[in-house]
Amino acid sequence: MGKQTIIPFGPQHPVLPEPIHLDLVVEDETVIEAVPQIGFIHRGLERLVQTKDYNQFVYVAERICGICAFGHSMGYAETVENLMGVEVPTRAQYLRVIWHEMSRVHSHTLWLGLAADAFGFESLFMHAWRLREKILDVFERTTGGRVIFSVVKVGGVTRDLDDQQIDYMKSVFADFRAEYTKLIRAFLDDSSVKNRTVGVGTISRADAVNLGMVGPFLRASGEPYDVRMLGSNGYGELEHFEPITDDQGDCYARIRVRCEEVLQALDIIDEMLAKLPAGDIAVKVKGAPKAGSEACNLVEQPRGECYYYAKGNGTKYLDRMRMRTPTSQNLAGMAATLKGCDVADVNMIVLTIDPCISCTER
Amino acid sequence: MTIPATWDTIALDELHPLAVKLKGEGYRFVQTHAVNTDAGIDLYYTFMKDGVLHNYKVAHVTPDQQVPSVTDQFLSAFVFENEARELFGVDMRDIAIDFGGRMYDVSEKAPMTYVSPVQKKEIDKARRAALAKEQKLRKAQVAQAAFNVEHPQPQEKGAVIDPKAMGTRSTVGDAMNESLMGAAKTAARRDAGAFSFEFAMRDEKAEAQAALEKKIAGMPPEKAARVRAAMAAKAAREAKAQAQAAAQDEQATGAQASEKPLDPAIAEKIKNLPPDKAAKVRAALEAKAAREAAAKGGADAAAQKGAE
Repeated sequence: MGKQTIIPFGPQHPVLPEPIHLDLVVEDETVIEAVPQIGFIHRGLERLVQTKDYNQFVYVAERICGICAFGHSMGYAETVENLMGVEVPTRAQYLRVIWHEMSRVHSHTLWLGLAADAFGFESLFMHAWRLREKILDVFERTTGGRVIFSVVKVGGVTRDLDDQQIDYMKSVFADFRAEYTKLIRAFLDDSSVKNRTVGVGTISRADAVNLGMVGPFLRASGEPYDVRMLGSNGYGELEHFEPITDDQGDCYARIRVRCEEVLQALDIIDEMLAKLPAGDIAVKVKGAPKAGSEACNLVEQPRGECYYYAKGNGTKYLDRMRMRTPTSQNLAGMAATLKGCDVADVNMIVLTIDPCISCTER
Repeated sequence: MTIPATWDTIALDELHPLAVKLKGEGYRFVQTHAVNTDAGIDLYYTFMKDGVLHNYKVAHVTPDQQVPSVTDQFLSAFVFENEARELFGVDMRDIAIDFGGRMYDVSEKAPMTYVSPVQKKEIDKARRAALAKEQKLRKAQVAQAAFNVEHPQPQEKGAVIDPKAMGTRSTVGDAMNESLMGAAKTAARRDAGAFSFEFAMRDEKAEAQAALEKKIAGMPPEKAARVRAAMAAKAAREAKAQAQAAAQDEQATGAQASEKPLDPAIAEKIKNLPPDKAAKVRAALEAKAAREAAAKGGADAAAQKGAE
């Protein structure tokens, strides 16, 4: 038995796009224990509900994270709509689903690029990010923003899609799908990728459920749970939805689940665009949430289930707004997955969880 | 459709046994968060099973109360329990991964328990408004009840009048006359009430205008200018809408006029009046002329018949 050493990992590390620190207790080359530490970018955004009214806070919620921006604004708006009993027009719900699934495509292709970079496949990283640019272009054309969109408001959305934009989106997504299908062959079939990911960072289905993991991290262990399957809000309009799962629970399974989720998101966008109903895109919301009223909501963000809670106090300022983001729920699972792995695999395991520290710390 | 959710309140000593029970029943842990209230911190624990969110609230936890951790059952709660300790000052005990109050390492102790002056002002204002609304409603109810007692509803049309019920009145005709007189008096009183109500409304409008002027006077100059511009724009919109309505009336009057030449006597009377009033006066005078003509025609016919 070798001597135990503590190796600090992060907050600055080549594979980490955001700061998280891990204390890795190592014996020889094996990790015995991993203790995560956060707190480098805590901004206290939940506190801002006291100084921003419920309409203004949409823009704060959107700035929680640069990748899940749309999802946060949508999740927040839906929660406040629940709180105030606002019925959102169907067209607005469809538009929200379309943009949210585009966010998923953009997030997953960004992550695929980061994963390729982590296992040293530079050209794959560049191709993934080149494709992601196409989605950002569609965002820019339809919302006016590439990262922060500001199209969601309490009561609906602020922008509509005209026929010309819809045709443009369809043509871009058709091209994207053709190129993406070729790209993921490298991720799923290349032997160098498999050597680096198959059998690495395995976590069983029972452990994944026990540790309360969410998102692709959970589904890659075989648990078929996805908030979208509950059919809330716009997702209730989908004809069929089945979560994508894998029963291996390793890094490769997590890559495969995300690769396929992009195609699933494109299918959802196609379906929504094909049956986009005519009508209003927003309703006027008057008044303030009642004193003591409470509401909660779930949204499937690209990284997994996100829980929202809002409490009103009779004024236009909310008493409390809470976002429990997917990464904060996955930290326990990450610590458990790192136990027993090689030191050289730590970066791959951490990355395949796709941690978003901006969301975690808010 | 929204995600179905349940809300329950539990006692602090029920928390850990509940976590053990739910773990055994296969519930999934979703999250923990804290809410600051006047009476203490409310801790929320959320679990999920079969697509339903179950929210449990431990109400009014004070800083001197020790809260047992649920991380022995649900490890993923460690982030939120550390958060509740650092940001809300809750005394969490036995957290599996305990950062000892240095996870976020905030400079202030329990910063989320601090209520900003802006929020406090808004909450106080909302409370006062709610109280005033309630008092006004109660006062109106009391006044209405008093008015109803003093002014009973008149006999309904078509109702059978019972002579015996009319006391000393012995005939149906007398009772009916009395009843009609009573109804006329009550109607007159009700009209008077409506008139005074209208006056009260006018007073309220004047008061509101005065209050608005006072409020504008207290504003910074650029904001006051914006508010005045908005008010002017609103007044202009209303004036435009009135002018359009008047123009439509005039057009309708003009259409009638094109069918029938205007009586010179009527034209003389309405020439100095505003268009909308002129249209009404003209219609009334024409109706009167028509009535007079009809009466005259009838008298002539009767005279002719008598002569025959």
